[in-house]
Amino acid sequence: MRFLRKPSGLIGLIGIACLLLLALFANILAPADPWAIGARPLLAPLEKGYIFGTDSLGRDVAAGVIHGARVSVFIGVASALATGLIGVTMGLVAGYAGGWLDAALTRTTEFFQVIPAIVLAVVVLSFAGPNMITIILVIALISWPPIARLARAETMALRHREFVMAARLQGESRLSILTGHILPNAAPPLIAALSLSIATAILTESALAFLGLGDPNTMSWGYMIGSGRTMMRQAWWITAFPGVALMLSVLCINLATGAYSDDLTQRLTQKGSQ
Amino acid sequence: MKATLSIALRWLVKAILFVFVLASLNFLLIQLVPGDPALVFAGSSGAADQQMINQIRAEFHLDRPVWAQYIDYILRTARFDLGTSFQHGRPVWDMIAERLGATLLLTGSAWGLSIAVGVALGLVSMRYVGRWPDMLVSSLALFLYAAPSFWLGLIFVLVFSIWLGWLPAFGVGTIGVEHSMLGAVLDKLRHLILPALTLATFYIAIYARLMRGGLLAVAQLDHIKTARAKGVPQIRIVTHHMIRGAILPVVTYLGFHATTLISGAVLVETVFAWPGLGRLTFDAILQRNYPLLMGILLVTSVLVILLNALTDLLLRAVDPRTGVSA
Repeated sequence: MRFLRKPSGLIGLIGIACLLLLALFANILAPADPWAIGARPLLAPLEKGYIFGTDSLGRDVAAGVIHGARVSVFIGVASALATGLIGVTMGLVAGYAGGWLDAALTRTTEFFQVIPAIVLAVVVLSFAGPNMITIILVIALISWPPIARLARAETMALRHREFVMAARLQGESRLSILTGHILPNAAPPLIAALSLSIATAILTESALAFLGLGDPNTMSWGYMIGSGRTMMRQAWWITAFPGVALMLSVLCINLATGAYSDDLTQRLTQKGSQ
Repeated sequence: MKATLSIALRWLVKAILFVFVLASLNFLLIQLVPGDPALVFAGSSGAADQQMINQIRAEFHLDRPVWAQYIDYILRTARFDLGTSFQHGRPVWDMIAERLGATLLLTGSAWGLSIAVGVALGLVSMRYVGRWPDMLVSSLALFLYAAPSFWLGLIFVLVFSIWLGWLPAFGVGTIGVEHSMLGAVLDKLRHLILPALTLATFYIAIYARLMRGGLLAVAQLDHIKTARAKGVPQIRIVTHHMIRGAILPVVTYLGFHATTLISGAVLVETVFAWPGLGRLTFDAILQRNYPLLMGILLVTSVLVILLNALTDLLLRAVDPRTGVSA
């Protein structure tokens, strides 16, 4: 937790805490259904107690922003976990096995890095139909390559170290070497990269929802921005507030992750110089 | 010359292999969809009459075994035949080809803009390193890096079109106004500013940071000290020695950023009704137009490979020391 001493790390973590609280207590903070029509349409912010105003159907924008936090946090974390599962597995196997398997997996990684991510996501989601599960899987499908590359590089740096050799001499299985020796030592940079991919996943989900490929049953920030688009002239607040929430969430995750990885490189270079 | 040719050849082989694998994946995707593929192609948005279904069955030879369909599909892709958009009754390739120019114009201008502004901001940061202008640029970069492009575009529309009335909010040209040659170009340029700026912001954030680091590193090098000792004017040191040294690594990011630029264009074109591939993608999603979507996936991916090849060749031309890396 040393990275908290940096102001950017502290600000980032406070922001993340606020986002989590918003997501956890959404039902208490905004008890009404965000889809429910509560008041006159297009109330301006602060009018009649609606701090963010209402949208074209009279739905509370603030309630939408609060419940949208829930969608973003859930999709962000779940997609990052799925991304980590695919990426780390691919990277560990490729880096440790070497040879033709490494070549094949590296080519696959490169293949996925060339395809424009949003276009691939759009095509797969159009076929599969958008819902929470397919959206999370599609985000993982387009985000794993950088994680795999990092995991592969870390594994290759570790595989010839003495403790790995010792484990091999003791006859430990490949699986136990990978999960028991290599993965724990490769973890810190992977954690940094995966926390960053939470931010990317939140942005991707909102972009997909904006294009009309969000889960139709959830009130997400991307959906709100997309539906407020045609009302920009009359009601800027429908679009503006969800976007600000989106930007601040991503900013805070980036700040905290940045501070964490700075601290990490600092410690590593200090270790190296001793 | 020989090395350049060899780079180009390697990229060509890569591109062909890539198209083959991607076309196979497209085919697999069609097979995975439950139900009659003919109905899938006709579009799930209903209104598929029997004549259309028959036409699709005939075009894709759906009565033949799967492997024969697969070979047929690959061969047709190799001939740039991406199938027919049955909802429009037009070949997919034609629909994509007429939109390519607009997307290239948008992504190209956005990229150029991001390099120019990135260099300028990097220079400001370097000149005032550690002082308030540097801090301001760094914070601006942090915010721009976190902002979703499609939302930022809408905010730009709100401020510059609706509130200030300076720039048009959407489209490529003013409708119903006759322009002279020059007038038409200027009109298009005015429509280009907001979309290009929106797409550029994310890269401006990255390039400003990269330029700052690059310039600070170059400033320490011996040839800069020599130039200073010789009495070369400061402005010339910056333009002729420092920017030259620092900009090359930034330019090489074009290959790396090609995929995200195209992805970004999909969103930005949707916001600004810019008639390129992105807007076509958005319309295709709404219509559940699968042949069109798969065609766009293939063409945009090839575009990314071309941009990567171009970066490689440009790099080779600018700095012959770089080896064959493709």
